[in-house]
Amino acid sequence: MSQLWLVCYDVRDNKRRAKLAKLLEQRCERVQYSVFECPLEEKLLEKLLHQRWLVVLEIPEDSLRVYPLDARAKAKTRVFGSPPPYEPPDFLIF
Amino acid sequence: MTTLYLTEPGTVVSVKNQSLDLKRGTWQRSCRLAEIELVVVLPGVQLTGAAIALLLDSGVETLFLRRDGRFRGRLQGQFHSNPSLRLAQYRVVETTFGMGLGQKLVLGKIRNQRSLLQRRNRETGGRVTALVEAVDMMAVYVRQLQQLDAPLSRDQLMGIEGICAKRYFQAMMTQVPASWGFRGRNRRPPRDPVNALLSWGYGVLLARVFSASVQAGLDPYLGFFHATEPYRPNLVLDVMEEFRPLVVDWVVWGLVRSPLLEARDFEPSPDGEGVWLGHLAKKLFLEQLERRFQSKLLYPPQERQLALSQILVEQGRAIARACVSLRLDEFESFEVR
Repeated sequence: MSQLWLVCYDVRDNKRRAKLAKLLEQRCERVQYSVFECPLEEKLLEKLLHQRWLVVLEIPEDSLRVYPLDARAKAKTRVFGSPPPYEPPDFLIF
Repeated sequence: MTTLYLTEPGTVVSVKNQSLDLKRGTWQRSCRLAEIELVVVLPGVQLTGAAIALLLDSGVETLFLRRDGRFRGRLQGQFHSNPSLRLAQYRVVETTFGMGLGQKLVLGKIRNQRSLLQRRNRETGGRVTALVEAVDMMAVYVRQLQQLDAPLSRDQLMGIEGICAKRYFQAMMTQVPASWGFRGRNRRPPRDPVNALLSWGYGVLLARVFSASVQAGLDPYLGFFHATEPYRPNLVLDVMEEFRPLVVDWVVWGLVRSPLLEARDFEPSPDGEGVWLGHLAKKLFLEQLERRFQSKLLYPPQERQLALSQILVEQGRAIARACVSLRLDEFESFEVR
């Protein structure tokens, strides 16, 4: 079962930051400039984290933080000025 | 997982950063491929080569419909087809076992039609004679089909299915407001808005059952009840029988009692003989159908709640398993009460 993760980063170098953001956008919803919400299975998160996202960064100069948002945390999350925690829609009709 | 319907002619679908990039005039929207499970494409939508390649490579099911809602085709990339399963399917066609399967599917359809009638019968307190009589008559056929030792012939089964369908639509006629001008089922072309909705909905259902059958590893063209008529996805027609009342009719009977759609949402077909859904009607109807596909019902074989769209796939798999094991009791039609 997929759950929601909160991903945020501090990346010094513009090029590395752009690269990481692009990779995150493939899987996650950008909710602020350096904050993403990701609906992912834990196994997949683990894989993406180590094989794609972290590879881009220079650690410890850069940092990346991933917080789990379980169902209760998600329900209790308070948001001001933007939509509630991300949930992929069941369907889209355009 | 998300179902993406592309209904607006003039939409161009390209690819950007592992997402589908939708554009039409100044309107733009992007959808992450990782979240998309199914794409349904209506005529007039343009997919770039890159978009088609990405959909094929990532195995996202992509269905194309015609203007009248009929199934046009689907994208098929690499897929796992199990030859022994197909052989098993071929072996049971035109056998007693195959007819037994076909009979179960027809039984499921009749029971589901009957339960829709029964629901209305309860609502009207049994005061509508056409409903009461149809419910009783269909009960007789249901019992007959359940108690048979040997399966009926195809003609006998078709006869029963036809009689029940006729009575079902006649009874439902009393429940559709007169302003809709519904005088029973007709098709090719549908001649009134209710029939237009039914036909369009069956087209969408057929497309989805088609992909479910392929997913289950079955040959969509080789059926049991509809058997082997050429150029027709006979197995798909078999599998979708029980879902016609459950998905499409259920939504249509609800729509005709709601103020959502009215006469001006429909238009005459180009040949002037039939009625087509207008653009807004398509979108509204698709939304209701999709809600129904997503609704969760108890799936007895697995004793858990599943979305109807998932139950389509599970029923396909159950048929495949029964063909391999040659045990009729491994497959039960899906029915709601």
